[in-house]
Amino acid sequence: MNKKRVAPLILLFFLFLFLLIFQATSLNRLSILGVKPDLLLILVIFFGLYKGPLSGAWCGFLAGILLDTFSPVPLGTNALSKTILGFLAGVVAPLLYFETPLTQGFLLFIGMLLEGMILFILLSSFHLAPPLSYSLRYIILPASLYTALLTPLLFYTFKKLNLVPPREMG
Amino acid sequence: MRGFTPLPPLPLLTPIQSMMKKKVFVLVLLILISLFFLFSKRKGSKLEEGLTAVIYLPARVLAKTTSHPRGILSQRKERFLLELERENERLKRLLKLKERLTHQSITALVIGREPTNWFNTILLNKGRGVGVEENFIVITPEGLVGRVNKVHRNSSQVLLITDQESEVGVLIERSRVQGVIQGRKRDLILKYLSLEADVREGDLLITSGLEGGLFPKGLVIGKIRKIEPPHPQDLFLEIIVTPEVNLSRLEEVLILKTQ
Repeated sequence: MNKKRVAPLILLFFLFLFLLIFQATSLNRLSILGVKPDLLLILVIFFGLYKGPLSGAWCGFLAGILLDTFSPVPLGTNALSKTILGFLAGVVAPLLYFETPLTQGFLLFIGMLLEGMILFILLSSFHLAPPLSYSLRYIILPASLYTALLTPLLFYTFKKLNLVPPREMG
Repeated sequence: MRGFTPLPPLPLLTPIQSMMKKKVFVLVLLILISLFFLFSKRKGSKLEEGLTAVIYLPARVLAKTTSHPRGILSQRKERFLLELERENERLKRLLKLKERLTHQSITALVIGREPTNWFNTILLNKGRGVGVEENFIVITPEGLVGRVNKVHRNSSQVLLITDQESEVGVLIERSRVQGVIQGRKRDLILKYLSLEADVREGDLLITSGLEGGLFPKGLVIGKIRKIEPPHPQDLFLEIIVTPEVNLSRLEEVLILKTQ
């Protein structure tokens, strides 16, 4: 097997694992009003934007499956929502300029809102979602805002880690 | 017609079209796999168990290194001794509680929390391997924490009482008035108390033991923090309760074998 192709995949897996464990342990100390940012979604959208829809979708699927095992949701819930978000980020990337902190934050805010609505629909179908007004007020909107605020810093860090190879064609 | 050379046949798809087709194919494939997981009724599949084992291992190591006095975050001697003293204190209180209990219990360490914002759950380092089962009750010396809602071989997930999905039958210790508490982010809401109910701010709530024996009677839940003034159309009071247990700083807990 080609080592050059496998090494980044292994690195990616461990990066997702690290972010997931950080999100499930130490990040709780930084939660505001009981809400914490979604670091995994920031990485998924980062990959979608810089590497294209395919990478975005694969990263979303991987991050989602890891998240599902940690969460009381049925396996596949976050995998589905994050796959769609990663793919969409890759599709809209050629149409957008996303190199400023403001646009990065705005993109993540919209992404979080969209993911929140997808999760709300999926969880509702399993009778696991709180009412929509509660979900919006206490979960989706505050989490979107918090994630958007952290996005520029994380995008900067991911770039410093050299996670941005050239974009795919098309 | 002399000199006419036919053009080579056009490829069915241009490279860009072919690439787009591949992308859509991958997207559809991943969505179908996710949907398969979502709607397959098998609980605790081998894939889930395997992934859990891989993911929870670093979480367990991290929890042990950061929570234990010898952990990487507390290298200095004075700090180490202080942490050791605190841990000793917590474990003594847990042991005292264990001796008072009529049910059998298992001591467990909190190794993680719900990574998303949709639920209020914690992860414990004890699972099916030591006899933990779904719906076992989790407590600390201060009171009720929640109930086990997912069990793996070496870990389990606990739905906290502050989760929106959690409902517990309670009674006010002073007046013996009964109601139900439901989670709301970091607080609890006491429901179904009539406008004339004998209730005061500061009243202590304990479990009523009325939901088919799920929660034993007498476990401390919390204190009434605020009674919202009722609107003219309201049938019940809206009462906000603060949990007695600090659920954001849990370290060690007891799992009660309640079934």
